[in-house]
Amino acid sequence: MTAWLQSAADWLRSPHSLNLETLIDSLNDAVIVIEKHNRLQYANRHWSQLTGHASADCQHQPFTQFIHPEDRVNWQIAFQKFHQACDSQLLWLRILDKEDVVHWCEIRVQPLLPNRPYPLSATLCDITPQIRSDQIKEARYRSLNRLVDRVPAMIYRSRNNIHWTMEFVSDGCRELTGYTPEKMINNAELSYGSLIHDDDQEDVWCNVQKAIQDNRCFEITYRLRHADGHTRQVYEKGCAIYSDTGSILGIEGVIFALDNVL
Amino acid sequence: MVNLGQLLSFNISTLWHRSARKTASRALNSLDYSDIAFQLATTDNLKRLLPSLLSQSALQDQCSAELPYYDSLFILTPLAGHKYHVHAPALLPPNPQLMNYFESLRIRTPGHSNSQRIDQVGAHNIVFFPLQNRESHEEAYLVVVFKGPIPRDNHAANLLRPLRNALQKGLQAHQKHQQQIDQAVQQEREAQAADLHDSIAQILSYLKMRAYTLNSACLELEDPTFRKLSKDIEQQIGFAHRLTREIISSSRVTYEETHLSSAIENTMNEFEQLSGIVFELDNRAKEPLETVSHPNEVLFIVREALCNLVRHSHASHTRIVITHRADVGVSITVEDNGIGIRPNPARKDSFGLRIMEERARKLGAKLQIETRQQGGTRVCLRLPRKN
Repeated sequence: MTAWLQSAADWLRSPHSLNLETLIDSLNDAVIVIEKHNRLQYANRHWSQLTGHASADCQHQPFTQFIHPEDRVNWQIAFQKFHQACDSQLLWLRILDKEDVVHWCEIRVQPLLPNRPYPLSATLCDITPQIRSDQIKEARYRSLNRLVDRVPAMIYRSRNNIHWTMEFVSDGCRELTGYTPEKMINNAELSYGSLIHDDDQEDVWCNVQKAIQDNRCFEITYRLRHADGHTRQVYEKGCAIYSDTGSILGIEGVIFALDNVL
Repeated sequence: MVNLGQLLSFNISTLWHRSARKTASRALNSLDYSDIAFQLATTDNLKRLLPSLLSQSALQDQCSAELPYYDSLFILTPLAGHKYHVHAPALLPPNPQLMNYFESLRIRTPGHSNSQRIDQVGAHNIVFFPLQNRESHEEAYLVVVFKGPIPRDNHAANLLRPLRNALQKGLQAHQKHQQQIDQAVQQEREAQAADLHDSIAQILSYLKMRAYTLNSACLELEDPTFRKLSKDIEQQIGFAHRLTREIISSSRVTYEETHLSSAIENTMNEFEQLSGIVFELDNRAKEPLETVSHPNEVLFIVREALCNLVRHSHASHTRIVITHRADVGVSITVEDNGIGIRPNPARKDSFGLRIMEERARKLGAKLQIETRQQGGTRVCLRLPRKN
């Protein structure tokens, strides 16, 4: 391996081979060198493309001036850690370009020379598209999650067993049963089946199983015991979810309170 | 056997302490400190009172006589963003170097410390005596500036101790008084909001429905005069209803956050939870934002902009950019990638923009609402620079 590195270095150094600067300029990441007092000593071509500033204009400018004001403290913290640990540091920062547009960058800092704190070399990879995509995914998830939790009913996914073991229940569970979803998921403290009125449990089981056998949705009404001790009349509509081979994986549905308190 | 050195040092030390006690007692006798504390506790304008307190000839003469190299006295009271308001003696010609130093001064570690700080600016030596607030936190400072070396053996501290105690007590009482006023104002606003909700808002709500019915009936009449009149009545009742709701919600939503930046961030998070829109906050002016006048009004304009955006924009992405430029002041821009805003809105019963404009006008701010070239809407609020 060392021999290979040596030969690669020799090739780069040879007068007929590729120039090292050309190689660094060809990279699709910004490469910078930071000297003492946080000033830029060198920047490759991609840095200019990223920031809109010519590399020559950036020389000896403080690197922090290109960082978003809110991220400068993070940079200082990473910088201190870097000096304490003498190890490369990776962090995400917002870089402001010439037009004040924000670019999210993943920046990795390492010492340029062994056993010397300065200068530092750093690579910056523009991860703005990835950040935007993550933000959109998060917003979709958040929106759907909040929608499900705000529906004035209990939306659920359960296993097809006599206890109706819940895998997921929406926040509507609190209003419908008086218990928090956490208490019910995977029968942590109680099962949904145990809340169904004793006289209705068999009917519920039979009706759901019959619908599953017929490969159709079920619609049932029954009595449910609320945490405060009262009994409520509820309406449930749901269906089974099947694998491609027809195995029953669980039950999904929604349960509404038909009236307040019986 | 006592040697001469010990004897001399004992005598000098004893004399010095006697002299320090004397200077302190002279300072005590020459100023009415309980009156200073009382004036501070009851004033509604600290900015006017503190310079006149510092200008008292009894105080200045005493300091000049007792403290070698004495130059001036200042009081610093906190502003947002770790900055300080500088209260200088009224008759003192401002020293630009010192004023620049104080205005850019930031003491970032307020705590329970009671010890004095010392700094140097050019030929001046500056001593900061902390003044604690009601929570025993170091908050304001009594500052003494010397044109040369600082007197030894806490001479300045001894001389100024009664003044420092009076200022501390007075400022603490002032702080309590202000908190009581704020609380009373808030309670009154809430009571008024409740009254409005139960009275005028109910009537307007009823009138709104009746005006709609009346307008629908008038549409079938041939005479255009009635149609025009009933439409106008419906719109004006709608606006009055919306304004009343706005006043009620303004009174109920209190500006509890210490900082406007975090209040805007919390508002953004609130709307984020209620929609599928990506919200991005790009705040490049945290410190200048904390010094704007009427933060409540600013927050309500931002809330209204976000509310309109969630309701009408059809956007998937929103960005709030807060910037500051010395020549322009603080700007808050809310932009989205939605359907944009029509110059002549079809619904004449949309009053959100009118209310935003009204609030901006009261602030002396400029509000610009436009369609972005890339699509979507841009709402830009330019806040006036604080004098």
